[in-house]
Amino acid sequence: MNDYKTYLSKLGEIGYVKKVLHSIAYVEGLPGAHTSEVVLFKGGGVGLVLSLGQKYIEVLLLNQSAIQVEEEVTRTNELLQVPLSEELLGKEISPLGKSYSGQEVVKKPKEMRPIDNEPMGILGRSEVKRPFETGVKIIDLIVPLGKGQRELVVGDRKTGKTLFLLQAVLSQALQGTICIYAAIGKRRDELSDIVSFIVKNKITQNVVVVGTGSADPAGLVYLTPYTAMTIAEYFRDQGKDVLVILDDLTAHASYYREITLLARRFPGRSSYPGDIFYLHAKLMERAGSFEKGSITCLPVAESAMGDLSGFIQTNLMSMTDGHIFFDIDRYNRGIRPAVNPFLSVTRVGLQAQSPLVRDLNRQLSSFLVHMEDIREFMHFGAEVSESLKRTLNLGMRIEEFLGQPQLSIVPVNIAIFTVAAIWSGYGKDLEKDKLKEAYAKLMDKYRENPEFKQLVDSMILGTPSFTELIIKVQAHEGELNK
Amino acid sequence: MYSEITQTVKTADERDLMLSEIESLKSALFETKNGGIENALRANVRASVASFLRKGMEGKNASGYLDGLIRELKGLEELKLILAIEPTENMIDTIYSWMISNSLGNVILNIEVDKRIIAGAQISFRGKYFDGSLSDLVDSVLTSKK
Repeated sequence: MNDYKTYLSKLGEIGYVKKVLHSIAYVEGLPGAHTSEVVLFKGGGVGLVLSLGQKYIEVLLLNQSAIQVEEEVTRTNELLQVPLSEELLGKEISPLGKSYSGQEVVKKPKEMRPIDNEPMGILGRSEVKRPFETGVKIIDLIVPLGKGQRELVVGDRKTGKTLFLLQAVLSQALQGTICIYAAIGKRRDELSDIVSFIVKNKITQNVVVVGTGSADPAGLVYLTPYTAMTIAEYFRDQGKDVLVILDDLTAHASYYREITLLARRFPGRSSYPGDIFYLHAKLMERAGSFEKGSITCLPVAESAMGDLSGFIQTNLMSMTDGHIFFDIDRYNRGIRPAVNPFLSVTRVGLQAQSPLVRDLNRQLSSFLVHMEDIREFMHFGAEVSESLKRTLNLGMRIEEFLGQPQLSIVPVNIAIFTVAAIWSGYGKDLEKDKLKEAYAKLMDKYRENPEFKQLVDSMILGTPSFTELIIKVQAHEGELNK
Repeated sequence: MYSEITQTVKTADERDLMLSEIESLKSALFETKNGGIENALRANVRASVASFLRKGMEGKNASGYLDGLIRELKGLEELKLILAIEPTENMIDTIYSWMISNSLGNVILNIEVDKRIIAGAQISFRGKYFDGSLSDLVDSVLTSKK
């Protein structure tokens, strides 16, 4: 982008700021301005035309520079674009495609793309048919995802949503997926935690962080998910698989509400503007599975007191292919990750899994429901039969297994193998506190012993049903206890 | 109704001066001591403007007339002109009459002086901008020589 003077002499149009209201400036002049056009202020400010009025143009301010009344403004005849190239990988950028301090990050851009693109039409899309591994056992086994799926991550604050997202980033980045993390209006320390996790795990070469802080102008925060999605589309067009995390869209909606209320738009439900659904739906529509590459999108929504019926939350549920619910009650009971398997949904994820995973998913889900029923039954002080005791013991072992230390990832094959082993009796004589140790030993063996890894992988690959897998695992019982 | 008086205003400075005169008149409207509005017209308003105002207020509600005049003056469009030198009265008259002859009615000049433009002028009106300064010409020549 050129400087103020160049655009002024090129286009010969000028405007004057007449009023400034937080993140919105009202400008008189600029007769040729059009909506979504970038305007430059003489003092270095950047803005985006929000709407055109009879007397004033409404401009959304995108940076911190102090705008003064009577300051000169010129238009650029350009939409907001971000520079794109592989140089972005490993960088933290603002939604304007620059570093937080305003320096250029992409020195030689291969392409400039407007951030508010139209979603791809039906012809370029394909079915979700490849599994997407998050490295979190309970997700990969009970609510499995597919590449190109849009899955909402919803839950109260401090229930481990961001930790799960980082696990998914780690798991995917290690498999070569390009991960774009859009941190929307986050606190600076939260942003630095995300970045340090990425650096610590040496996955920077596959990750781009598009971040805005809570102190940034509302206009800039509002643009964060759009820039992230544009970067994702750039890598998608190269045939790559991309993961986009939008953390979080309830904050995004709040910032947009702030902007629109200042701009005197008519407020709708919960004071959100009428186009909030359209705005998010259009964004979600840009993700998906395509003929060339995929964009898996994990938008986040924050709920309050475990209530999933909020306006933004239900909007997002209706425009995604399922949701993972982080339950505050489970979190308070010490269950990690606090995913509620009964209230979580995956709509297209199962079709992307192998017949074995689908079979396991069906059996495991119905077993967990059965366990809940038994627990409720036990409240009445019923006498416990031998078979019920065995079921309870299996349930306890499964629940211990589904627990997972934060920020660790588990390959899905060893997770499936371990469930089959548990089903066939592995660890049935162990005390509860010894179980974790036994499972960890199995994981370590998978990671460290290539022969065992090969055995597990080939067994998973060559088995079509969970029952058959249990039989095969039983045949290798000796291998488990070595 | 107000065209006679607004036509005497050629620049933004003159408009601001007239507005301050009207404001002082408005504050004297309901004074009974010190001769009231007539005294204010003599003491605080230029003679040329005072005669227009006397004529305008005759037989009318003075407060309403003055409010209307303030609105009219504030609504005058501005043509912004940045010059390298302080313009003389003659210069202002010439430019203003050019504006009137080119059918730019209800427009006043907002003149600023910026020596950095060296010579010529930078003009902006109704959102359009034209840089006719010597500094711009020099800049473009130097850029093309690089």
